[in-house]
Amino acid sequence: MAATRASKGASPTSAVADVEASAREFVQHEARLLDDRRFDEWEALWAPDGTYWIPGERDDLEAFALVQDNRNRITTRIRQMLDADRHSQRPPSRTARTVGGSQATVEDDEVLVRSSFVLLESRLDKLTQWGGVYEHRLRVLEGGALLMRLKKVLLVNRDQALSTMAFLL
Amino acid sequence: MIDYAALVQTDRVNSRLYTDPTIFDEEMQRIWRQGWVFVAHESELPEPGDYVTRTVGVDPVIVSRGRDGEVRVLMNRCTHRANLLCEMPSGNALYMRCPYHGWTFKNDGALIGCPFPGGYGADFVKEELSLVQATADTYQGFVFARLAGDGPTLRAWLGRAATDIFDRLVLSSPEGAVELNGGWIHHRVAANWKVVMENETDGYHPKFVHASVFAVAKSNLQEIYDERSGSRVRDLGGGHTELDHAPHYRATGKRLDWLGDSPSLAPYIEAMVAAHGEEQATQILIDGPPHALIFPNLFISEGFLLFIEPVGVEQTVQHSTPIYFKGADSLNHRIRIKMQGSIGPAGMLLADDTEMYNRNQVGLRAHQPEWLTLRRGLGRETVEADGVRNSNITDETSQRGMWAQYLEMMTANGSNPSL
Repeated sequence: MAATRASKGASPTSAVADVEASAREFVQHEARLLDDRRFDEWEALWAPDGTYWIPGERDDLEAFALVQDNRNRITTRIRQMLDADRHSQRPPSRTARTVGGSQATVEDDEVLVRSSFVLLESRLDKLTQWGGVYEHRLRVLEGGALLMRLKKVLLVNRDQALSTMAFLL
Repeated sequence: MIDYAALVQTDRVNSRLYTDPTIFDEEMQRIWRQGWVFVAHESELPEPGDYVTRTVGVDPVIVSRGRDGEVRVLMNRCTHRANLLCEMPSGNALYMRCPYHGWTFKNDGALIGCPFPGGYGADFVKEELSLVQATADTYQGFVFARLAGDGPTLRAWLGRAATDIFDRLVLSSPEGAVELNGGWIHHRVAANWKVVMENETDGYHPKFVHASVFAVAKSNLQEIYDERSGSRVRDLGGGHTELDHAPHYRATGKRLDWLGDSPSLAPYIEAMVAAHGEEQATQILIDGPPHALIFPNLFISEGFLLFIEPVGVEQTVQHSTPIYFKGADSLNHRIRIKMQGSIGPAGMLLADDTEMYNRNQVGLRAHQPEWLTLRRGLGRETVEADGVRNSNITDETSQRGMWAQYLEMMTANGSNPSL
């Protein structure tokens, strides 16, 4: 195993392949943390300049979004979600998401991963399905660790009337 | 026949008003078709041919700007066999062709022609088959429509809300105008439309419904919506009501407290001073834009607006968008950032309001008690010189004002709702 890694490291092409593979793995791990409600660990995945973005009708950074949180607001959102008076999360949503078809592309010191997702949300007497495209822009740190600089959630039905989504997509 | 006067009383309303499908149908006719209803803003239709499709009550309509520059509201229904004519949310078209049999209309509603006209006899008069046009008018760029019947002019319908809400709103723009071009988000509610309407100027709930925001972030809402706040609830008449925060802000004397002042807003303040002069600009910046419900469907809330679409007796949609003030880019940027944190399906505020609406509708299924109590503040309202009712910010003066208008519309013209 160690020998394989060493020989891969020798070739730039396989180094890129390694980063791409770990980026795809990162995306699976990130989904799992949310479904398992391990929010401290999830928050630790973020870069200090991270943005959590769910576009509305228009897929445009300057247009009015469903969510467009900077790093501070991500913390606020998590804390509010866990507050006893966040009524729309009492009881909390139970979620299970399937993330597939991930394609990773290395761009300078970042890697972009595009995936499809289907998410089931159960809350009170309602089962709601959500789905669309995840775009993860991950910063590659010295030593290969990854941090989320952007998580963009492009819902297929972003132009429709949506149910409340007070959980994290 | 439903006895509305028995269901709507000064200090209480009956549960049935929120749950009875017959009442919902009668409301569509008497309030949503025969009253003035907000449909769009002129800034959404800057060019001839621009259109948006909307729903007024349950009626689909097209709001379009003609070649002549006039904004019209047309029923979105082909006069041939009732096919929905225009299916896109917005676009530009000077002509509309029905996809079913190819009947073609100008965007002022006139029927231009239909394929194989020889199949129709000599008594086929194109002019009789124009799209049905609603009465439309605008105030400060806000487009309203009345789908059926006669009644007051828009200006008379708005009454005190024209000056106190719309004129006050545009003052916060250095150019005296607002624009709705930030994009819309749409949020589903499993509750009757009146549950949503009543909450828009309810100054009693924020301390409780939004307690989780106060727990995690700095917010002035907690002081504003305290019983000791200087803010006031006002019933402007005609069902139009507001939560007037200007008295509270004047007491603090802080500029832009409604949004939170920031060094990034310096260009905006400068433009306001240039437009209004130092003294008036300072006053406008302290007072902030209004927070009001224009009966029955338009909620103007300082930096955003929301309009209510009733879908069914227990189904409603909230459509929201930021309010951008013309000539105020730095302000608008900050409005977008703040408002997209607060409103919509994931909003730190609106998600919890909507949760309350949904729970309200479930609570209404309990058959007792039969009544909802609306007596808060009845003993401490004051009446301004022109009849505007004014009370403590936490009082139910606003809901009583909406219900008075509701009762008037539901009982106008006796028992015949088609008049």
